[in-house]
Formats: sequence, structure tokens, C-alpha cells
Amino acid sequence: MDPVFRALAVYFFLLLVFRIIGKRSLSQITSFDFLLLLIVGEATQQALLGQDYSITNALLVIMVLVGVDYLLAMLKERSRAVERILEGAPLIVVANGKVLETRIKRAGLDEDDVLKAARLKHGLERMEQIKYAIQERDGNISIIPYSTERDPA
Amino acid sequence: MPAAVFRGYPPMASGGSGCYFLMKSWQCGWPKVALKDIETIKHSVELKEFHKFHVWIWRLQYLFMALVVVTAILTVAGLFGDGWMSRTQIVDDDAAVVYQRFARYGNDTVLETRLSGNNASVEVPLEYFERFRLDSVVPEPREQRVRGNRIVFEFSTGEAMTARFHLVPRRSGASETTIVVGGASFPVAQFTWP
Repeated sequence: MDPVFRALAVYFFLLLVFRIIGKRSLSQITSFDFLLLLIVGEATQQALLGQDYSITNALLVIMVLVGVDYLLAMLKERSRAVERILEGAPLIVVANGKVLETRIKRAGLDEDDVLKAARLKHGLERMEQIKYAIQERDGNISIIPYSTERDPA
Repeated sequence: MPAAVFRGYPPMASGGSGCYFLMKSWQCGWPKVALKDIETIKHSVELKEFHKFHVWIWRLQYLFMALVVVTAILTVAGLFGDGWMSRTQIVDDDAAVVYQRFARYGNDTVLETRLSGNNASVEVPLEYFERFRLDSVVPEPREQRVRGNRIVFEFSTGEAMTARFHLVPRRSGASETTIVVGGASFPVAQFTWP
């Protein structure tokens, strides 16, 4: 039972930590975030396997991790509430060219992040050209620009 | 200053340090992030924002950060071993025992016994070694034998000395035992984190 409990404990702890810390999509991670992920991976390895380096133990741990992940995916499919808890909810951070300060700050973003997404995805130049910017559940920023006929620029 | 998210507190961007910010938030109870602080907007995007849910998550973030700070302080203090909270010293005339109250599973810990020259023996219950694996004893005992349910370590010395038992916890949880050092009994209570 030991590998099962180890895998479950590590999985749920990491799920909790990364869920609470905030959203950041893979495309947004900085080199420091990447380094942090490597260190976390290294630190978890010992906790997952203990002193049992057998193939059986490794296979058991993998099976438990994949199993619990599949189970959570099923739960998310069946319950919107579970999905929201595990994946989060989208949040509008810019509306009608105006930055919503409380929202953007609490979402862990700043204007530069929004402008970067606007430049990359739509080639926009200014905040006023953005109708809505939305922090999606996966941490990505979606940009909805004003249509050309309504573009204030 | 954003619309009253942290009303009454200096925002971090305007010179207030993170520590001050966290401290003030904590002193005043629940972090000042309320549903009413989120800007209300009418939008045409087909999505549900769940404002209450976001506020709940933001508050959890505060609590988590506070927990991280508290855990870091407690770790330095020795809650997980090697610190003033963990180090325990019991002295009885000529003998003494020094050990870590908190240990971590699979991680070395040292039980130190200070002996007088007159009676240089240490008696440890056998059951103690079911919880802790004995890696080494420094200096090496002159003699080691089993007496009843105890192991007796005899050291060859004519003067005061310190014997260190290097142990590795092999079970997590609490353990209590009595160790006899130079004829005096010492209660040893330890907790091993998983």
C-alpha cells in the first residue's frame, strides 16, 4: 500500500499547491519557473519512490498517478463544480480598452502581459484597441479586439 | 491605487514591502478582498466568471502564503528537526541525554549520551531499535550485550565522555522510551515525520 499512499499524497499536494499559487500557462513560464519545476520534480522523486527503486514500485506509482488523473478527469466531466475547482474559471481583465485594476492584479497579471498577448495574437498596438482581454482557465490570455469599423484608432 | 482592493494599506507598488503588506493583512484578520471589490462590468462575451469563486481562490492564496511563511519559520525553529524546538537536553547529575524531539523518516538523527567515568554504560530498550535503525555508535562500545529487553552498551573510559548513537528512523509517528545512562533513567519522547 505504501507506493499508493505516497503517490496519492504527492499528487494531491502538488495539485493543491499549483492550483492555489495561480494560473500560468506553459507558454508563459519564465526560465525561473522552469528551474522551479525541475527542482520540484527532483524533490518529489525521492518522496514518490522512497528507498524502493524496483521496476514494480515505479510501475505502481505510475499506475496510481495516471489512475487518479483519469478519475479526476471523469469527475470534471460529470460535475461543473469539480471542474471549476480543479481548473478555475475565466476572468475578464480588460473591458472596452480599460484595465480592470482589481481583477488584473488579483489574477497575477499586469498591463504588459495583456499588451504582449495583444501584439502576439492580433498585432494590436494599444490598450484602447482591445475590447476584452480574458484570463482563461489554463492561464492563457485571450484577446478580443474591436472590430475594424469600431476601432477607436 | 486600484479600486479599493487593499483599502487602508499601502499597495506594494507604492513602496510598501511585501512583509509589511502581509503583516498588516494578517493583523486585520481576513484579507481585504471582497466580492464588492471586483469591478462590475456588462460584457457581451459568452462566459461565466464566477466572481465568488475567484474571491475564494484569492483568499486561499493569502492563507497559503501565510502558511508558507509560518512553515518556513517553524522549520528554522526545528519543528521538522535540528532546531531549538527540537533539541532536547535532559541532565541528571553526572549523566545527560541530548536528542532531537523531531526527526524525519529515513533521515539521520543523533542521540547523544554524556557519561561520567564511574559508570560508562548505556541501556536502550530493544523496541527502540524497531523504530530507529542503529547506524553506528561513536566511540565504539567496549562491550555490547542483551540484558532482558534491553541492549547494554559498555564503554571503556575512566573519565567523562560523550557517546553518540547515529540513528535512522524507520517508522513514522510518536515514540516514547526510557534510556538508562550511567544508572540514571531518562525519558526520550520523539516524533518522526513521514
